[in-house]
Amino acid sequence: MKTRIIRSTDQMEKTMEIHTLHDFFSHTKGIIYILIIAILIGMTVFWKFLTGGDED
Amino acid sequence: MSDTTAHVGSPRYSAFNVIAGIILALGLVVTVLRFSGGLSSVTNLDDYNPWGIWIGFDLMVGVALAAGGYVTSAAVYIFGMKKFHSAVRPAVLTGFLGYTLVVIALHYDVGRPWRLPYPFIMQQGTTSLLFEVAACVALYLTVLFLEFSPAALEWLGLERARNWAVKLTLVLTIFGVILSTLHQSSLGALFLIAPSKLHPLWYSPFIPLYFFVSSVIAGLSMVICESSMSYKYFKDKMDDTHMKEKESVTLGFGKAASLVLAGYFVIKVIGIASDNNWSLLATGYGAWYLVELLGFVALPCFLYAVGVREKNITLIKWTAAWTVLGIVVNRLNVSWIAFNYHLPSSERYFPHIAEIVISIFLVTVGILIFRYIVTRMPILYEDPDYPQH
Repeated sequence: MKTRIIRSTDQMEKTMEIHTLHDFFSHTKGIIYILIIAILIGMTVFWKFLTGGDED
Repeated sequence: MSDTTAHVGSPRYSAFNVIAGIILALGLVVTVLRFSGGLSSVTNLDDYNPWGIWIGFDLMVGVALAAGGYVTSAAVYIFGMKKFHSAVRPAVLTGFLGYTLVVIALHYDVGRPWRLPYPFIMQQGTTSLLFEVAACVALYLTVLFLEFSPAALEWLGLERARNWAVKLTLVLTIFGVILSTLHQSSLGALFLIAPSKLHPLWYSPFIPLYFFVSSVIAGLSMVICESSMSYKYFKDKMDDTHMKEKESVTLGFGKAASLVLAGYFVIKVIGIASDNNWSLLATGYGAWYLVELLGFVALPCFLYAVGVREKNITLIKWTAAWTVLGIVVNRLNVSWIAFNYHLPSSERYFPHIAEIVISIFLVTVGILIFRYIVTRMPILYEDPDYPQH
């Protein structure tokens, strides 16, 4: 997959080879799953940071 | 008590009173013009832009910022966080006044006030989101009135009626949470009908969820702001309990706001990913969207967390004010700035000066009524004749 900036839907389709709804969901869901893993780790770290000043 | 508190806070001709008086006079003139000359005489609304700042600011922002009532009541009466009890009455009063002004603002936009009950009596229209919003706002305004009534009844000395009203507290709180969940999200859902008009970065199938979650943030931040303003201007009205709990309210609500902001940031990013809108972030609207997302969501989330960790009350208060501004920016983005984004600039909406006057007029009316009530009724202090409920 190329990394250049995409400026239109046509360009996006050419770059990522999205032709069908299935392609679209495979792409977006793939990114969301990666994001979710990052969020699970990030939220845990954030919670530790937020509650770090608690006395108990 | 009323004799001694009639002019509490400032002398009769203070700068605040004079400015407020001028705003009220201007507002009344514009009110006469609006109801005698129609919308076109005082607004820049047209068929492309039927909703201006009377909806985008007065209604959308007003409802979001009035969310402190249900958020605080739920925390205290449903989740049992009794240490925040002193924040309930000011928050409920703010919510009640907020919703009252929202309904008044709606009269300016809709016109013909006698037709306001039409959704309920002339036709059912139950498939319309506007019907749901109308029903929820009408019911929730009633709930807020009943939640506020114990303070007014204590002031009037009507003990039996007050005791009955207090007994309804838990039921009203549950009802309030349900109604708020419904109509806060429905205000966002109104924009689901306009996918081609609202910029893709703000349009999302998740927009009802965004509106609801951000209303919780708005409610928490408004309680902190309102608490700090009350301390500054009505310190003499606060009893020992309010003074003692003030800091824990700020810390507790700041912590909650930080956590909810983090969640809000996450669902906004997932929204971009699910619509594959990453490329739009490199555009002009994308830059503005990033200002909103990073400057008014991520930044206050971090600042709240730092403030809570270091128990820095000043930082939390300023962050709350910044967050409230962020909610205003978000609602105006959705209803105005990113709405009809594809139209040429000549067709874009910009509010008429009279529209701005009415918005400032309504905010001023809200502040004046808040001051009138707080200086007379047991809002920031507990009446010794009536035990805590």
